[in-house]
Amino acid sequence: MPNILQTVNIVKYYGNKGNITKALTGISFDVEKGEYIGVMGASGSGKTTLLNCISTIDSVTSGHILINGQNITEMDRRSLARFRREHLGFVFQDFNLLDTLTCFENIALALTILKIPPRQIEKRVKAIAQALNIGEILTKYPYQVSGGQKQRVACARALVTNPSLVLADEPTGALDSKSAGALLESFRHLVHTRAATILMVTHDAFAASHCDRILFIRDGKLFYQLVRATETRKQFFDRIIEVVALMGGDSDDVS
Amino acid sequence: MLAKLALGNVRKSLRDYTIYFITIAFGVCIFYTFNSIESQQVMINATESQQMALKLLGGFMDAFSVFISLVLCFLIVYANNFLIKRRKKEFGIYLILGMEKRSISWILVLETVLVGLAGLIFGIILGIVVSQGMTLVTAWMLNSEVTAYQFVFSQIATIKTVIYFGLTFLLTLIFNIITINKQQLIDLINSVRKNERFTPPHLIRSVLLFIGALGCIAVAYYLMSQGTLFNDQVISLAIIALIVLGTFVFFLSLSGFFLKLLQQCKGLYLRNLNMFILRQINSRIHTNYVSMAFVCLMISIAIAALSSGTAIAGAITAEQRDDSPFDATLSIQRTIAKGTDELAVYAPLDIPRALQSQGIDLDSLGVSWVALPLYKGPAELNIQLPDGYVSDLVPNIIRLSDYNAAAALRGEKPLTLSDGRFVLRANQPEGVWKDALVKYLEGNPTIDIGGSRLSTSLELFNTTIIETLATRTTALDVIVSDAVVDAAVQNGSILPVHRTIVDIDYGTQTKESTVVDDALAQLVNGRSIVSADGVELGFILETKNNVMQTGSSATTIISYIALYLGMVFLIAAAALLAIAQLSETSDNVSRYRLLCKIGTEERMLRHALFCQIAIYFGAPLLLACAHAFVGILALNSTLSTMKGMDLLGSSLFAALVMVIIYGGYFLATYLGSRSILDREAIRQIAVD
Repeated sequence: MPNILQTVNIVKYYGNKGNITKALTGISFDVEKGEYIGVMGASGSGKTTLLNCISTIDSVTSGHILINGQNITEMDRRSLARFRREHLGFVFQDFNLLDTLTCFENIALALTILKIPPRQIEKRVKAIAQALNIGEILTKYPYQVSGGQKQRVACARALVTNPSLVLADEPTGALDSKSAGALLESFRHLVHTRAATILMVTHDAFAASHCDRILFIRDGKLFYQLVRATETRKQFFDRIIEVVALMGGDSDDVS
Repeated sequence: MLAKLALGNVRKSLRDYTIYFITIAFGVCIFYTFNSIESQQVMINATESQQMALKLLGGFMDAFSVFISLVLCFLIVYANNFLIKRRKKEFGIYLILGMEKRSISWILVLETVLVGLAGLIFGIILGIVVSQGMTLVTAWMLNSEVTAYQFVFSQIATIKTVIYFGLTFLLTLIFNIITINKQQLIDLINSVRKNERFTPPHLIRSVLLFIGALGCIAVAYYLMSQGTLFNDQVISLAIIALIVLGTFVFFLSLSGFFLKLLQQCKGLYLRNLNMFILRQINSRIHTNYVSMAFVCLMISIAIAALSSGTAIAGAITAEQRDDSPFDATLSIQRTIAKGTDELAVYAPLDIPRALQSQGIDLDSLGVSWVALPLYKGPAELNIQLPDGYVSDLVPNIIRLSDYNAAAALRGEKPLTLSDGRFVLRANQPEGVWKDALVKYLEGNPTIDIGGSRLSTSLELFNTTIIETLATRTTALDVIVSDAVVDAAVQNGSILPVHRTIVDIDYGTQTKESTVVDDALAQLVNGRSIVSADGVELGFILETKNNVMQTGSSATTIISYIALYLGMVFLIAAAALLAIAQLSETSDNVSRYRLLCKIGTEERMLRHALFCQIAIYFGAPLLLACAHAFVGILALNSTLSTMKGMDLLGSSLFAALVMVIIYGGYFLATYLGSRSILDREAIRQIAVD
């Protein structure tokens, strides 16, 4: 399988000369097409920074990020915006739906900014809504539907453009465990049927247990990598817990 | 410490304060300029009557300034409230840090005073500069010259400006302190989140309301087009009520209506950010429709004032020019009480001989003159106008040869009259009054004078003005051949001359017309002619210069009041919109940020922003133009007794003022909003 995402020694420093925060201190990894990959770490570990860098809304201090073979660290602002709308899909923890638009319009927005002919838009939105089981709520406003449904709408918005890479930032963070489970299952299903690649940032071991592979980040570095082989989700979950315990057990975090 | 904080705040929120500051400065500048008009006369070589006019204008400005200052006061308080609302969170933080409400109030006091003082000083300086130019305009409008240039600084205007705006700032302060003291800490902290409550639109209801609003406005327009605006108070009130109601409902339902309409054509709705723009406007319409409606009504008044003011002024000037065909007119009139035996008291008045007998020698002034005697027609000559017009009008009778002598003095061709015909003459080249006469003449009427039956027709209608007039009268004259007049006088069927006008032409002395005016006045001053029944008849002198000056004074007063009202309303309207839109852009930063995140082109975002602001500025403007257009037409038809107002020219003038003030505010708002978009969304995508 070809690599859809390749990061080479990413470093990200914040601040100026006198006061530097080292968010990422050299991270390299590859993601294959169709993979469902999780990124875990405690808060402050740099996982959101990593996601922001990959999603091109933040720039790296040094290093390279290649998505579909294109080096996004060398693009200007305009090309980056173009790249984002053509190749990436976003799912945020707080959904980030526009409250003034109906669910249908929220999904269609991703297509209208791509200047897709209006005739195709309706068909594509309906199709993705069917796949995510939200066909009935399309005419409703975000505030009229449940959190789980909102996040499905957000997923639909991210996927309707058929992006090469979907970036999800704590997608289950604002959901109850039942909705979270259902959403993650839908995600799983999409990975299989659409050959979508998903990179999910989470600190929830339960959410992470749905992934194929998990990267553990600590203090801006890749700390550990866990690949799900043939074991059940429960077994994978237990292994994740072990790593989390190992990371958290470090004396640095306690003091 | 607090002063430092206040100064820092002003500097930090300079962007927020810009529009506020500009508005204060503009308001002060206009206020000062118009109130300093009276002091400007030191530079103008004004005659006594012009000085009177300037004084009168000063009085008008005083009266209007009270009203204007109320408008500006409302605007400043409103703008200030907006700034305060946007800073609630900041105040919440101060409170959490343990600052007392009193200290926060102090910060606000200092900030208000700081910005107010700066705006006041800047505005007065600007006003002093503008008023220098205004003096030249005043002199030009009064047909007068500027003596020597002199720097004019009006102490009275300055003091007035300081007092009025000082009071306004005081009011602002009180409002601010009340606002702060009313607030609960929790509300201040949560104010950002609280602002974003969203209520879904009822689109069907919007469509119905929109149709209702259009209906209201259409009915009002229809009533206005019937020319009833100024005739009947009840109907006038009904029209105003309908317009106001229609305007409010129009803006309440406008976005919903268009949203529904555009949703029907998917091709347009799902193109670029169109649906985002419409939803955006629709979502805030409940907070914005009141201000949009107010803005629309204010612009309507501004356009109407600006264009009809200059049009009326222009019409007055044109009419004054037409009303003074001769350099001067001397007239003698004998009026008698009703019921007196008219034939007995009227004795034929031979003006040239009467003048001579009084030792008044017009020829000594080196002028040419013509005496034009007007015979009083008998009551039977009553002209029957169509229904709905005054009908007891007895015309004067003029000999053809006398009329032609006056025409020759003006350098015009003589009138010829075939046997058995007469000419009807009126001082009304246009208007309702003329229409009535035309209707009368279309019936090819006949009259009997001294036993001869005379006829006339529309082609013979004459509206030449035969004397220099101060005001256009509704007097009617019948011009008939000398033979008919002589016969009628002989058999006593018409009354003798009751008024004689002496038209005077200065010939080569036109340049020194004022000198001749004075000489003429001196000649007839205190002189009189004694009629046959022993009544002393005085001379009435009307000069062209006098008529023109009266006209220019009226023109100046009307134009200035129109300009004053129009500009203040325009600034108030534009500033209101600008402040609302700038703060709305800030409120929507998170939405724009999301659009950036999912990769929207910058150009598309800016276009969306532009469209939103253009709609907010454009919609009230368009409706206001419609209101003003219909209103001006109604005004025009009512005032059309005046010679045709130059509506095109004055509308162009209004448009120019509009483009400068309203366009300027629009541009400032767009650029300000765009810089907010660039700074806080496009370059700051990562922030949540």
